[in-house]
Amino acid sequence: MTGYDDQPLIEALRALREEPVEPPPGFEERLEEHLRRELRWRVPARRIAHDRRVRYGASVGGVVVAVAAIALVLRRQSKRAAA
Amino acid sequence: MVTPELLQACRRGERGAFEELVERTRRQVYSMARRLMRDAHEAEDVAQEVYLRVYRGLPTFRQEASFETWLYRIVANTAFTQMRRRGRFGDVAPEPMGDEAPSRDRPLGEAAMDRDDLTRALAKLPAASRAVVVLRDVYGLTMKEIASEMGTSEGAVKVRLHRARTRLRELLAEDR
Repeated sequence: MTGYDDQPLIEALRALREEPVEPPPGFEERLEEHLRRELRWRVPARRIAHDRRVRYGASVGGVVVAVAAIALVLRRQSKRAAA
Repeated sequence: MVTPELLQACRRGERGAFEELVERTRRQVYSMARRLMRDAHEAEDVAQEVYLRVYRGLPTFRQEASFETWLYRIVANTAFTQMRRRGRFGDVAPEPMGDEAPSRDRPLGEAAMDRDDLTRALAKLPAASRAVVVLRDVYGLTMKEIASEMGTSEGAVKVRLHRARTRLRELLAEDR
């Protein structure tokens, strides 16, 4: 949907994409500070979530806890049966 | 330029990866936000929010899509949220109806397309019209993508784009 004389306008507009707008002084620092504050906990959490060793450890830990829980239940059941 | 490797590193939460992504794209993000918003302060707010959304969205971003387009859509969506919050988006200044055909006695050649004139003329457009021109003609989003971000139909976007370009040409002609 372009008019017959839209093309020069569209080309000029497209060229704007390559022309960055100068941000106000201190923009980079404020952005960095904002992100540091907002993502303080999320970045380490994501790192941990993607760490193979942590995942492996969590799996092993989960198995140990599950086995311990089952053993506890079985032990209680056998105690009750004996009593 | 954001590489697939950098995106992967960001997803894994590797130290410094997200900072690197921000550093590589912040000028681009700020520029787009500034073209959509009314002033530098608002554009800065948008840029800050964009990176929080990018961080949250990275794990679900599908690599087959262009990261640049994905980023542009986030900037657009964040800008629209801000505009709506400030009650500016829904209540767009009336655009001139009729006389929509470009006037043949005022062709706009390369000489008229001075970057500063164009930026000034863009700033004079109502928020929603400016947004359509910026997203389509400057950043190359599709009509479908723009309609989706604006919460409207493709037809409505096409009509608005046509009117906005006409108005833009008028503004540029007035400046000459």
